[in-house]
Amino acid sequence: MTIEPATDPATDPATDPVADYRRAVAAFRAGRSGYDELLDSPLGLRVEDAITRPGLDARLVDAQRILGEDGVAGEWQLDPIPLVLGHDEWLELSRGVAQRVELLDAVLADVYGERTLLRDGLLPPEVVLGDPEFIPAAAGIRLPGRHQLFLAAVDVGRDENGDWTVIADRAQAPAGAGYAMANRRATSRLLPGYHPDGRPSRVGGFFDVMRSSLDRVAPPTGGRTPRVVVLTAGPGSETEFDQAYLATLLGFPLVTADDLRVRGGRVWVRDIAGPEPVDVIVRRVDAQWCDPLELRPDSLLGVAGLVEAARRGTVTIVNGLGSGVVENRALYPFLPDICESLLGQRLRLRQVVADSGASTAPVVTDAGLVPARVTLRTFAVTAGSGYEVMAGGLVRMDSGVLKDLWVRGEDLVEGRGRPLGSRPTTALLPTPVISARAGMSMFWLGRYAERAEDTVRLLRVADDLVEDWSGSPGSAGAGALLAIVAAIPLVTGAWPGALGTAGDPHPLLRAMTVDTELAGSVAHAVTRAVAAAHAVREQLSVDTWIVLGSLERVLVEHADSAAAGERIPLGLIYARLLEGLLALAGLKAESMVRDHAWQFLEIGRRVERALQVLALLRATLVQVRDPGVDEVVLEAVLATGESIITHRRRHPAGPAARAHVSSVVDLLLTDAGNPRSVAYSVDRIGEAIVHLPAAESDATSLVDLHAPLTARLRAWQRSDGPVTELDTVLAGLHADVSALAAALQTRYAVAAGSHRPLGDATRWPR
Amino acid sequence: MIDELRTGVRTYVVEHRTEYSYDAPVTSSYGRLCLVPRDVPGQWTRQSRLDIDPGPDVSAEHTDVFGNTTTYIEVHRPHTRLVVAARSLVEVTRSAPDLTGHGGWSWESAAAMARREPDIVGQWEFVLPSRHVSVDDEVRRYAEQVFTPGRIALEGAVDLIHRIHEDFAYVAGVTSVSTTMTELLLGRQGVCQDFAHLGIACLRAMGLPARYVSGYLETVPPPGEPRLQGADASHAWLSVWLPELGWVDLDPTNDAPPNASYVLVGWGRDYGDVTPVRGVVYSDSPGSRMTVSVDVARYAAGAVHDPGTLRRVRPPRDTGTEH
Repeated sequence: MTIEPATDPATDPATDPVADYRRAVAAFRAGRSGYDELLDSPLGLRVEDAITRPGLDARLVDAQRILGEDGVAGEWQLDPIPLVLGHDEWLELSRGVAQRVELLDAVLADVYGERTLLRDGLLPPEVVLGDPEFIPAAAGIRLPGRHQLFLAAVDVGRDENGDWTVIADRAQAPAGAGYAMANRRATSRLLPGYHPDGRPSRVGGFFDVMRSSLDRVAPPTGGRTPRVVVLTAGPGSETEFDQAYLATLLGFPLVTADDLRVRGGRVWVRDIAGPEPVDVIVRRVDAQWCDPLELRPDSLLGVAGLVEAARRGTVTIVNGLGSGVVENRALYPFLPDICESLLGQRLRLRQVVADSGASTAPVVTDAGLVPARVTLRTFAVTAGSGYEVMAGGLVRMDSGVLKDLWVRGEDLVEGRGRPLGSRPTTALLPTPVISARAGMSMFWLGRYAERAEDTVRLLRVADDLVEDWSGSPGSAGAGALLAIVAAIPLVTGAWPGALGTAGDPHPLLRAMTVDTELAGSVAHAVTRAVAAAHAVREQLSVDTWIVLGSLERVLVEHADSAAAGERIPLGLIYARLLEGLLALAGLKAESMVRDHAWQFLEIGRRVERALQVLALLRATLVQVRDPGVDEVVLEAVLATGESIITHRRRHPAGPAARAHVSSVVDLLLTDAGNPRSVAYSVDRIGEAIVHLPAAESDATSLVDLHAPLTARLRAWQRSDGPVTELDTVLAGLHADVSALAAALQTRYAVAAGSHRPLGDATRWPR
Repeated sequence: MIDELRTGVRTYVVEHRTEYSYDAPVTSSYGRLCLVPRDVPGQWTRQSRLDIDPGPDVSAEHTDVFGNTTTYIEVHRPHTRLVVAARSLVEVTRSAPDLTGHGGWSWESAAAMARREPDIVGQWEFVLPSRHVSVDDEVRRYAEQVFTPGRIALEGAVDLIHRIHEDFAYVAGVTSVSTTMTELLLGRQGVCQDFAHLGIACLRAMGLPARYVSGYLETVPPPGEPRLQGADASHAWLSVWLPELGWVDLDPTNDAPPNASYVLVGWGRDYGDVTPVRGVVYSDSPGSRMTVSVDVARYAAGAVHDPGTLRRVRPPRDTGTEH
């Protein structure tokens, strides 16, 4: 990512972005005074100066690309220039944040406890009791430990004098800590080694503290390591990435309400091995939606009995139900007195009702640096006796983009003297939770990734035949081209309509490649693979997202030309898609621990490959053709099955060098040493399914379903029957593999039955 | 009856049975029940029991933020029918309240007093609007007909329930839990829950603390007394806080303060806080039917105090209302 500037900005004042920015800020202020994070801070200027030299546009593109590699393309925009705060300034601000969160914690504890603040007249009752986030059912539920407010975010901005003031508090289920970490990863790759005043303080330590605190707030577990889950509303949540990234950072599974049940007054997660007790829930679903029994009865995002479990203390929910009540800005006027009364301290940070701070900072745009107003989201998490403030944060510009926050001074958070190697670790859970839902998402990720790869191979072979033979009508090659094109819908299940019968195969191949709406197309499979990946985001490595992102980009690049009916460079596209799809397969093979998640992915891969090969063989081998045509078709089938080189090596000369049905069947159906064969896939499925734990009610054993597959393959090895018999065998195998996949689906399907109110809850009870 | 004359105590057997039936098996049911009459001056629950069929995997009592006894249940065996039967033995000595010591507070000064009373400020949810009690201009206009400037608060409250009783017809089935105050004021028909909510809304509109009270009425009145409206089902009335008097219960449905024919279960901001039976089922079954029956009968003196073997003065009447 070395980008050479078109001109040297040092010698060309006309392109000096900082000088341009100075003028832009002056225009923005329109004569009024103000504070700019770049121009008015010596720290800022030194950073920006270095950053902006190599070319602004390139930095902007890089920032988005790097975020895209984390699988978050399109979710938010990161400005490449961080906001920089000096050590002393940050210390003052973070003390103010810690004090404020301590104060909000005290208010929260009182509102759901003694209500002394109300009785003593320090807080008007309507401010809290009239808040829609006030949840009477939460009264009396207490988190173990000193604090009732587990995690809080405080949004601050500068006032006209440049002093930091509070503009909002977030206590319901604060979002953004994951974004902050992702932004830090991106900026450290974007500006490698650029630290003119020393490295910015690490933000990762914040998540270590959060992990320790999650352990500490867990109910007594009798020595067992507490099991923690992150409860999400599911893929499609507004802050989906933030939730998944947080789960990944903490190392805890992301679950939805469907994965959880209350039984015996405690919460269980539906692991594939059966229910496992849950000790702590990191709640990312708004409180009112968490329990249809005691809170909103119309909620489908909740777990019936959750409030009761929390009340019994069998589970700790953070943030606690009803904690959103302290977000209310109507609290502001009363906080200074409450602070004096409860903490015996003066409230450090001023508060103002505003949408953003008054200071500006530069945002990189196509038109150069543009000023926008700055809001900084800070985070604080309970650390036992006090609150730990993240030495960083999320900078939100009122233009909509985000920035990283660099805090100068090494020893803010980490420097509380935690030496290397003493990172607080949570002992590994004996069995990491993978919910049945997550397992099935891994299975489908495997299936769609494999489907995409196999389809690309088939289309590539068809495209090669077009290149070689479309100019020679009547030739054997042209006949083979027709046969392979005809096989495409049969193998992929796509229904391309009129495209399938047109004389020119290009529109069909084009649609089969980039049309996301066409079920069976590569684009369709990639889209589904990405969707499946989103549902198990916390299980996947960052590299996986880099690959998935590149696959999507290849397809999107040509979508417009395809929609306009133009010819697209299929050969090139297939080469790039295969590159990505092979990388995905490589990640599965080389970068994943062989745990249950991997086994689901593996089974999905192998089931799909077996089905694809069986469908390919059925669509191409059992027809009677001219021998000349047949030879080219069989070679095309071998090429699709990635086995042509092996075939040539095994049949080096003479009449046997020509592909025969039997030699193709040997290689692609029964050769257990060929990774592309059905036999190989069936063996791998057999190996993987024995590792899956027995289900609660194991009506149909997967192993029992697997056994006839192997038997059928062995039986075929002993016979060399006619083509009709081959078709029967292929059809039988196809049905057996499908049945196995269906049985897996049934076993791990999310528990049947959605929940709903008992009886007719709208009637008066009469 | 003799017993009552001698001791001033009426003992009731309260039976509240709710049955749900489903078209297809339900795998799990969760319930939150508010069926055990709470102890208050003039009323004491001697015994109570809950019978859940099929037998629950969990049945646990909890005292909610308002002090009511609620029960949490889980049923995990597949079932197509769920019966929740609550039976309580309740002693009632409640008589018509002595309201002479009302001190002559105007509603304005009563509202101002409430604001200065730490105990009331600590339960200010009873002055704020709640889910079933919205306070809008129409409610305010209705309330202001009664609470004219300077009027004595108690007099206003008594007049309010009288006016509701006069203006509204007791008709079951036209309103539901989701009926709004506006619809109620327009339709002028409803049941005790509606009348209680409207009265509470009017009191809160004037800044007076008011809470929703859930309970029952004696099914068959003593000889010579009229049968009260709402006796076959769960009943509801309201309670208003007034300086010097404290919480005063009033029943807009019967235009009177509750007497010894009333059994109180609990109170909250509105119906939502003291719903007798609320629950969630996990099921694919779309259809369900609910049957509720309530019976409040006199208990025979001297019988064994086990609600499971209770004998009644007269045989129970089938008072079930089917929906």
